[in-house]
Amino acid sequence: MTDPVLAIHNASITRGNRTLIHNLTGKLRAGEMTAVVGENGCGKSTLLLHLTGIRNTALPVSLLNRPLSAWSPADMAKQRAVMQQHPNTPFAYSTDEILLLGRSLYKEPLALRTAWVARVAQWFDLTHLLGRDIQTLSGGERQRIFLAKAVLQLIPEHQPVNVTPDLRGKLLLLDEPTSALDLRHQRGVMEQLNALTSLGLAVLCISHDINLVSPYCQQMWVLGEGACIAQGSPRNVLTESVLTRCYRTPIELITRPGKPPLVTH
Amino acid sequence: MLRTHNNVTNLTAHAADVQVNQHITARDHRRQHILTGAVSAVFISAWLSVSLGSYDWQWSAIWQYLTAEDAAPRHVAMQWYVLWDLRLPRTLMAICVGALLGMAGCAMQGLVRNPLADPGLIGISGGAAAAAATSMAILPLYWPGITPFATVIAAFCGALLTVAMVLHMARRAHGIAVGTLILAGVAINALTGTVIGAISYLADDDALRQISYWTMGSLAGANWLQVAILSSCLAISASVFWHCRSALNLFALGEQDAAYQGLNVKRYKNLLLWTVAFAVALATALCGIIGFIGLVIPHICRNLVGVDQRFLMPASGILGSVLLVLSDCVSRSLFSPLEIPIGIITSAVGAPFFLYLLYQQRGRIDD
Repeated sequence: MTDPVLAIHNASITRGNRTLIHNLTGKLRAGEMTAVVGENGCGKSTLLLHLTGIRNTALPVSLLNRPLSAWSPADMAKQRAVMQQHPNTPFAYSTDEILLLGRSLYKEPLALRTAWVARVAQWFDLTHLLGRDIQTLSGGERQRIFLAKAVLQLIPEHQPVNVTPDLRGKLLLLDEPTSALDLRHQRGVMEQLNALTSLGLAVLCISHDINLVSPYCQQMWVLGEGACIAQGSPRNVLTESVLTRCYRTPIELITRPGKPPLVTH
Repeated sequence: MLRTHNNVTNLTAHAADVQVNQHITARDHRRQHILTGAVSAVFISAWLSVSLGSYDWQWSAIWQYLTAEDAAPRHVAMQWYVLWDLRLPRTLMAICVGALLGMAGCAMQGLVRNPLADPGLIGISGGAAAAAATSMAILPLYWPGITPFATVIAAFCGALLTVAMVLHMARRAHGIAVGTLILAGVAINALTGTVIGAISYLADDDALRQISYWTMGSLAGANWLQVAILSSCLAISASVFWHCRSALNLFALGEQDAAYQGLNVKRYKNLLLWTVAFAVALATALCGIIGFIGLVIPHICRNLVGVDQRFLMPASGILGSVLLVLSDCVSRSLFSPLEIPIGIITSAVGAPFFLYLLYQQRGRIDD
């Protein structure tokens, strides 16, 4: 599968009369994780919002070679899932009800849905939280529940639970999915996302934790100065000049063997 | 983790699947039982409502009336009249209106994601009543005899207009600002109060009686035509609300998240708003303002059957009926033979309840 899952061709994103990102071109490929980094307010979340396709935009973005505007909401939702930055609900849903909502698009028997809920819950270390009231969970636990819900949305319809799903052509858009997680779960979530990309999933992940995501992502997009400053593999992108331009503060790199450099300041 | 997809973990994973499945199925069954119990509560309260009142009727007399070959004796005919023409339509009307208001409240709260959004509180009933009062006082001057239909249509337009106004004011980029929504409701209610006040000042005696009957709500004067209109309206709105149950569940996570999950947000939002306006307008057009049912009932139901709309929506309808039938019983029997307007009973229960909810939600109602 050489065609990209999502292709952006010379897209400029504006808010009000300010250009946030000028002429961005990029591809999200099956089996790859792409990290988007940049300072606060540089347009990371706005970029993600435009890639979700729920805004009626004329941006030159195509999902599986079809412009976003040509997709019906339901078809698109079977192909791409989104996790927002601060997901929450004012009502006391139980965690398994939230997870089941991730399957609401599909017409499947309840037994299959619950089997997948149980399976994905296990992937993200949520089994002990099933049946709990979502409002009583900590921020990190809630974040993992909504991440699991987004993943559930992408499992193909009628997928038998004992067969490894084929996730080629599926896209997961994440806005800071690890911001509230402890060290163990940060690593667990990244390992799990990595395992999912090995099944063909394409992931776009906004993060401020460069050191956490750099070993797992194949591409990194550094946003700043109203454009994309650098694109490429973490090793090529993570240089002092790029990061200093991006964050406008002195950055120090600690090189380590076999892994991208550690970024510190 | 995923890479442990070997035989050993598959076995434990399977055990977990079964456990989760059992948990969910058992919970669904429990909720179904509660719904069944609620349905029987409707029958019990309906029975109470038809047997309660200043005039006693006996089964034997009803039987006599139905089997009489000739004209039945006077006291028998009287009992039949009380049951068939007074009590039964009134009880059925209470059931329909209670269900409409309960479900409308449930839908409204789900739509704006806040348990404080009652159709009465945000001004829908007030708008309907003001428009209806205007039509009652003014339209007969130009078109005598047009009133009954015009009232319903006017109430509907009034309700829609207020929904549109209130929601337009409270709309923000990220959704609906609930603080503004309730404040807008306060303003609309003040405005409609003024309109109704001015009209009742200008209206003649006949219209005045009708208008005051509206503002406090009453089920007196229920007849079979009204029951027929309300029950068909109930059938329509109930099927729309049931159709929207999973949409409402998705709305609970926010409009944006619902859109990410493939829901046609605009379509469902419009459908729900129109149906809420339709249900509340019709209930208000026929029975006047009966407040707080839509606030209290979904809250009680969430404690009974949880927040999943597959159970919450029917429960709100069923318990709405029970509450309104019981309130009607109280309104008729508290100072019998005098009748207290039913809106006063529901407000007497609902307003303190609203205060309690506000107290509970301190610090959470903000934009």
